[in-house]
Amino acid sequence: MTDIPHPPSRLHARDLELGYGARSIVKDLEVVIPDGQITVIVGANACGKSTLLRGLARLLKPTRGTVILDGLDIQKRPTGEVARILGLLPQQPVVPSVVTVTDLVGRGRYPHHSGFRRWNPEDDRIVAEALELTGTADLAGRLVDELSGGQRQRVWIAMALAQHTDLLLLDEPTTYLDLAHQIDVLDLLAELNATRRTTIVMVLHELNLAARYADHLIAMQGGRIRAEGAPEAVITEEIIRDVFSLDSRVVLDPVSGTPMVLPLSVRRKESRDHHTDSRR
Amino acid sequence: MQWLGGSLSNVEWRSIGLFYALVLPVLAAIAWQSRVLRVAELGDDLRAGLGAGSGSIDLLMALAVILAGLATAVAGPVAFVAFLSGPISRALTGGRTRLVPAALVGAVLVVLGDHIGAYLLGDVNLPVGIITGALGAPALIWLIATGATTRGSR
Repeated sequence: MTDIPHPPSRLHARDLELGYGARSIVKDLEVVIPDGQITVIVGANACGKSTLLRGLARLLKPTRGTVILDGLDIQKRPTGEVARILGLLPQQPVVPSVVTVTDLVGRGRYPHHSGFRRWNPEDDRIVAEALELTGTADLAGRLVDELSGGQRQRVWIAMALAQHTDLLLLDEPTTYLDLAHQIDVLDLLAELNATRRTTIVMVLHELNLAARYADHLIAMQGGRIRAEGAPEAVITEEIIRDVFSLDSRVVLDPVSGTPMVLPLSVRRKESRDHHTDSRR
Repeated sequence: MQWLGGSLSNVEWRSIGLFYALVLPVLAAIAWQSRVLRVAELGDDLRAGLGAGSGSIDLLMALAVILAGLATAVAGPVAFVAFLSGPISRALTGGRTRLVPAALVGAVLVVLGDHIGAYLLGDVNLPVGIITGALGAPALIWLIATGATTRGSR
């Protein structure tokens, strides 16, 4: 399928510029998404994280440069073909008014069907498997509307699993979930990555969780990549100061051994400085 | 008169033959394309993410407009039938959106409206469009009002 002898990865972007209308959000970006790993994109609000994810998912046409999926320009590939390789879970998907869990998860099979190839037993098997993996099998007959936030997020992930793609892109999959449910969703994604070797790319706000779950971390600042690599290399006091304009201490997470950010509140820092000054 | 309120009184068998000759291929094309509606419901991002281009939605819309145009050409504007058939069939089928039940409900509404129009006021034959309009307008207001409250509570 590809003419390039050794593509750096299945999904990467060259000289990427993304924007809405005349306003460019992401500029001069070279991104390589490592195959079979979990990549987490972090950064301050409005730094272009979600825009980058949308560009990688083909939802946004680049104003310059190309996103390459399996050696081919993603914009030039048929939508249905892309949807069988790369899945996407947007930040706030729309729940149809009255739909059961099974029905919704089944819609993930859409790209595998056509006018000729309709629903078949294989689809039933894949949907059942997606429900099983996400622990939503006992919710199968329930209406999605009636589920809690955590359950609903699992159902959306089940739908993405039913799409059966090698790559899965998620925009803030843990937003609006309490800490226990955030861990729950991230564990589920990590398990998926471990068992199926699914390449996962997600935008996360919570840095300490990002450091725990990411194999590859991309820190963005003002539409550019400020730093990328292993969490240990990216989560440093200097980079956090640049990316979030926030002073912090970085220590080792006693649970996971990954870097952990302890933010210094500006107000408390001032009062402490004041305190030490007065002692002098 | 037919163009003010749709009516079945002046429809001839001759036009019915032509009507079906045009409608059946359009119906077949809609049935062929309708599966895209299941992912269109999930919003633009997921629709695109699941591999359904916006072009397939545009095509469905165009087909629907042709269908409505053909029906209007035969019977004139029969108001509110489409507005009502969707929600009624939804209530009857336990919330699932299905094209065939919605179409059947629409057909029943038109025939029922025509029957009421013919016998309600004795000698005066009211066009079906007046009846569906009179029943449909309050129903539409009710749908909007109740729809607004369920959205707001979420």
